[in-house]
Amino acid sequence: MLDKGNIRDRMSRAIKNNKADYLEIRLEESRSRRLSFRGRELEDIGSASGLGCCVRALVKGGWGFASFNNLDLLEEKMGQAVAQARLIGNETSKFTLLEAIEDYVDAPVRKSPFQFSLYEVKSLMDKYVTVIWSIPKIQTSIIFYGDSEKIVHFANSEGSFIRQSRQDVSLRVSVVAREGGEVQQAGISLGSNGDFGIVEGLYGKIEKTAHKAVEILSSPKIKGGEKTVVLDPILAGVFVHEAFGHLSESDFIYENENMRKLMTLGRCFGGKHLNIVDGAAVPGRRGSFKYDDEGVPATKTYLISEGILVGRLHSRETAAKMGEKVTGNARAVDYRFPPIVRMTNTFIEPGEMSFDQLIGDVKDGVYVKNWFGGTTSMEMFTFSSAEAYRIRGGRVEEMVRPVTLSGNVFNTLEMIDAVGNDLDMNEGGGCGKGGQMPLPVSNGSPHIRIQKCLVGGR
Amino acid sequence: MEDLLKLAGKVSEEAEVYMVSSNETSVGFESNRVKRLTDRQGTSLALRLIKNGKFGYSVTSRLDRPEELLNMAIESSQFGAAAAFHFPPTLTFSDIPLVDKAVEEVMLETMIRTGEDIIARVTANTPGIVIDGRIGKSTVNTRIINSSGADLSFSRSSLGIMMDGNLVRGTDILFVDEMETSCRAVMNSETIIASLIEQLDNSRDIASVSTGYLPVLFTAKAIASALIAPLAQGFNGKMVLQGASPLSQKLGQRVFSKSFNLWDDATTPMMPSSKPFDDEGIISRRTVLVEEGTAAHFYYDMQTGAMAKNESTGNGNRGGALLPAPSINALIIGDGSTPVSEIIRDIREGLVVEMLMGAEQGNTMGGDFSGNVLLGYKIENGRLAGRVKDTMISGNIYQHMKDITLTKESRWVGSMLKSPAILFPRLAVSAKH
Repeated sequence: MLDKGNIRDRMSRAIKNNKADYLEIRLEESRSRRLSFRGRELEDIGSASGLGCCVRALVKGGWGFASFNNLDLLEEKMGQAVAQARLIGNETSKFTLLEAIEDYVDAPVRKSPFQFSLYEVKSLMDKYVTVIWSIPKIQTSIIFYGDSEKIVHFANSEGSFIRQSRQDVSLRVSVVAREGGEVQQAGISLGSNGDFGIVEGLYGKIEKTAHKAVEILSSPKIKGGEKTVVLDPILAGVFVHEAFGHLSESDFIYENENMRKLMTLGRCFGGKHLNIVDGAAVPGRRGSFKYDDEGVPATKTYLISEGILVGRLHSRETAAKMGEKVTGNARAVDYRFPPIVRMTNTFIEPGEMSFDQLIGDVKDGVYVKNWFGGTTSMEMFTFSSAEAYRIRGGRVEEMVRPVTLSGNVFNTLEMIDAVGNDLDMNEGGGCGKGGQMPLPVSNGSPHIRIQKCLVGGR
Repeated sequence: MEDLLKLAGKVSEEAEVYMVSSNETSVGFESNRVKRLTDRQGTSLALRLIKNGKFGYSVTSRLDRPEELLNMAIESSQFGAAAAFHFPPTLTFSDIPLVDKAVEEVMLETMIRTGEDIIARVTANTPGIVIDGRIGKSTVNTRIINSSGADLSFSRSSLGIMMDGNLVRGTDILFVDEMETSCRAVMNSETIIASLIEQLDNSRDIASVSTGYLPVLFTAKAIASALIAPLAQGFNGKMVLQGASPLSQKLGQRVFSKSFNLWDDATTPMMPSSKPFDDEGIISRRTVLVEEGTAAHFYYDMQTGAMAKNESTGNGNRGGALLPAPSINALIIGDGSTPVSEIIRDIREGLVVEMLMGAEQGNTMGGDFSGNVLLGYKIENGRLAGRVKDTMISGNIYQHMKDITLTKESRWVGSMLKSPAILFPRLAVSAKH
């Protein structure tokens, strides 16, 4: 650990000695561990530690940013960032300034991964490997465990000084089954901000996953086309993140006139049963924190309320330029990057319907479960399921090959005609944007039903 | 570095120290103007040791704590994988030219002006388009020393441009992009401008395509977004060793069309993907993966190579804080002989795909490429007839690359792929109506 008093003084001094419309320093200490198994063999095990710093300066609308590992360079780099911002700044800076904040926030740890030695973590993973290999037709498996702890010291020209620490635990298990030339896989992906408990006691879950991979081998493909699909909470969470969440990030909107028109507050996106929320102030989730990487307090923001666009996600700059309030969504994956507008915990609020009611009147459709991946181009999105089943006559029937779902946000949200009552959150994903990934986020939803969704065979 | 190696040598049988340091300066453009100047300096130090026959590994960005790095490596060596090889001694390697001294002298002002020129020319062609991008230059220094006496180092300069444009019309959002990179102090803005304008011109109208099986032409950019992942996984020596690659038992067998040739190559002069030796100190080479449709070789790092009773092909690369593992350096697909214009001329109804979105989310290990056409055009009676939307394509490299046609024209996409365009005569296309 660094000498805190000293660090704080040095950061304040570097800020005081320079002049700009806004100045900011983030100094980050980190440690992380990881281990991976491929098949029965331990493939990789190791630890890393890091220390890095970045400075950011805003002058007349232009930004200078520098990142470095050698802390002796702090003053020099701050001066350089200011000079660079000055070189390109040629308008009036628009940037939301807040009251100074002084706070020290410790990670909300439930069961710290660092209580366990690498040996203990490895022994647990060994047991999971044994479970996987007890199933016939398994060709190989990949287990990736990672944990990290990060302490970020933040200071800016408002006079704020914030120290926040956070821990992160993640586990991905992917099982590959093979028969002849055919290879299929199934997996689980878990994460938490500082609770090792989520990776414990997964024997049943992992066994089921291994059986799924084998089962997919012999399941038929379905023909692509438009279908009624029912999404489980995990996949629906990925859907809300990809299909709508990214469109709510104001850095795509704030300086693009046509995009602003398209995303005018008050626009109707869906039915009255559709409510979408994002917020790091939702406690205990993977995307939760107290202050974002611009030192703005976290909030909970309604993006869609009763089908109507009512809000969006902001940094200090996008909020000022759009004349709206900051939401605490400026995040950087680490000190090598400036903060950009990102999601935190994004979810569809639960409605009234039970699962049975939701599938009850589906004559011919697909029930899609679990997450394999997702991406968006703002308007069009695509994401893939890890499992898929036929629905016939209101009942979930045989397993089919996993599918890729694709759509256009401007009509797909309207096509959500039923929202379940069983909200569940998915903490296993990492979000990527602008070369910054994986950023810890969570997303979730109850079961939802979409009419006429474009399904591609995977 | 030498001190750390000595320190590690006292407590382990073998050790290797790897250090990479980089300096990067870039100009960021947002909404048609210069927005941000960025300067990044980074150093990373990695220690890999073999203790009691097992690997230990640790990485840090703090150069002031060698004992901590050593202790972390020793802790992990207690249960590390058994080492199947010894660290290699110094071997001679031929220099691949990767440095242009002039890169250092490229002025920020020149980079800003180049970006502004691209933006001015493209917005003049298509008013309303919003362009974001980055022009950046960097210098990277890499050094490896090990207890077998190796001491290798090299430097690389690079300069690159990435620009993307987005045009919003009603609820229609069009994305176009282009990139270029090399080790030279040259900014080919004309190529970027011409490509962006061509994509925009081809997208003026919206066309609709039928659901069914159609001929689909993948441009080099589309190949980068859809085919690299399944190909890279299929030929990865580690996947092969595990039996997870469908090619596991297929070496020497015809798997693809006879016109398909593929190799991995880290020796192309002045390409940022090139290097004289890999991250384990193995000399770079060109590895033929597919020769006239036949699976010819897989690519390996030292550990996987030794386990497979093969030698490393110089593909031991480090990703972040991970141990070296086999990964591609740069894939090159051999040119075909048919001009693009001839292929398009002969198609009554089909597609040209420039970018496929989400293709890496499918069962890439099984060879699948399936995704949403982020940018693509309809071919109608031998001509491009506008951009298609809400259209999905699915295919599998092992099923659909037996009968393909490659074009005469080829290009680099960034520095990871050089490829011609590839025509698939019959792929499943699903479109929304």
